[in-house]
Amino acid sequence: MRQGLIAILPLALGVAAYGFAFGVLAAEAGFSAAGIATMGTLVFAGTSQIAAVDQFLSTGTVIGAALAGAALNLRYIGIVASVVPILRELPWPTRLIALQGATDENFALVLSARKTNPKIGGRFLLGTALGLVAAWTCSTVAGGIVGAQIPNLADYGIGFAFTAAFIAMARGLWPGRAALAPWGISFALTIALIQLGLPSAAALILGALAGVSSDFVFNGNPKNDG
Amino acid sequence: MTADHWTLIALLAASTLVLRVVGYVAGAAMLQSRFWQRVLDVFPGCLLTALIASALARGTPVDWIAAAVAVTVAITTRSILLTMIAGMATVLAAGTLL
Repeated sequence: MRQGLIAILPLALGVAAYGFAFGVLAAEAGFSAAGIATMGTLVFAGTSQIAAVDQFLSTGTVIGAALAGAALNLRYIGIVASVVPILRELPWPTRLIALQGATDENFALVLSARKTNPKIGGRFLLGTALGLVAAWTCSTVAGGIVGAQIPNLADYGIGFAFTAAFIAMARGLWPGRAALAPWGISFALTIALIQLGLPSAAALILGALAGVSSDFVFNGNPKNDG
Repeated sequence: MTADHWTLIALLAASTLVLRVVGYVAGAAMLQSRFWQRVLDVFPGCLLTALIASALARGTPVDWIAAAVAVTVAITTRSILLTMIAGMATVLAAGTLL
């Protein structure tokens, strides 16, 4: 477990830096330090927390914000599925903690470390999970406390921070040219639907679904992939 | 904090837990289906671009300029923090200059 904790340190520092920024923004959206700590621990999914708080701040709707956050977490199905054999090495109570702590930053690290050293397993994953949960929760709470002390954050360009974070996250997910059509259609259709008067939450879900559908058209039907 | 804030936290926590449990119980089977594998691969990127679009649809020209700067920084650095700083600095600088 200690090995995992040490291995995740560099990544945890990066997570803490944008966790702090997220905390500042969550305070702007009206979340208290206790609320930010609860969200960090129980949700522990940075991208979806940012998306949900952004939607909540801009639209004020709980369901739309929760849907946006939950939809971004669909990738956890694949992430968790890839570490199931490692999770099964742990007894149940710690298995649940590691399950909750499996995320973008540590699952790839654990899988690649296991390739070079087959002894790396559940306890290593648990160490990385605990390190990341601690870094994320502490940094978001610290950001929330600082954010609550600074009035008129919008004057400092902070309102754009979420959009910039989404741009950076999208860069991280960019799979190559095959994504041009689905991503472009999602972008254009979402803007068009909002201009036509549709609420943002509905427009972005419809835009994203249209993007996924177009991927089957432009990049081939999976049944025919051979 | 209002009841809406706590409700949002509860809904997010519940949905994230459900998706993690689905991944644990049925993830391997779902990933064997090319249809679901494709949907799970493509959907997060599409949703992120839709989120960016929804922010820019109600944004000012300064937001669009800041987005262009952020895209450039994201492509070159791949850093979430640096991209956030560059985007906010552009909004701040453009707000002062314009």
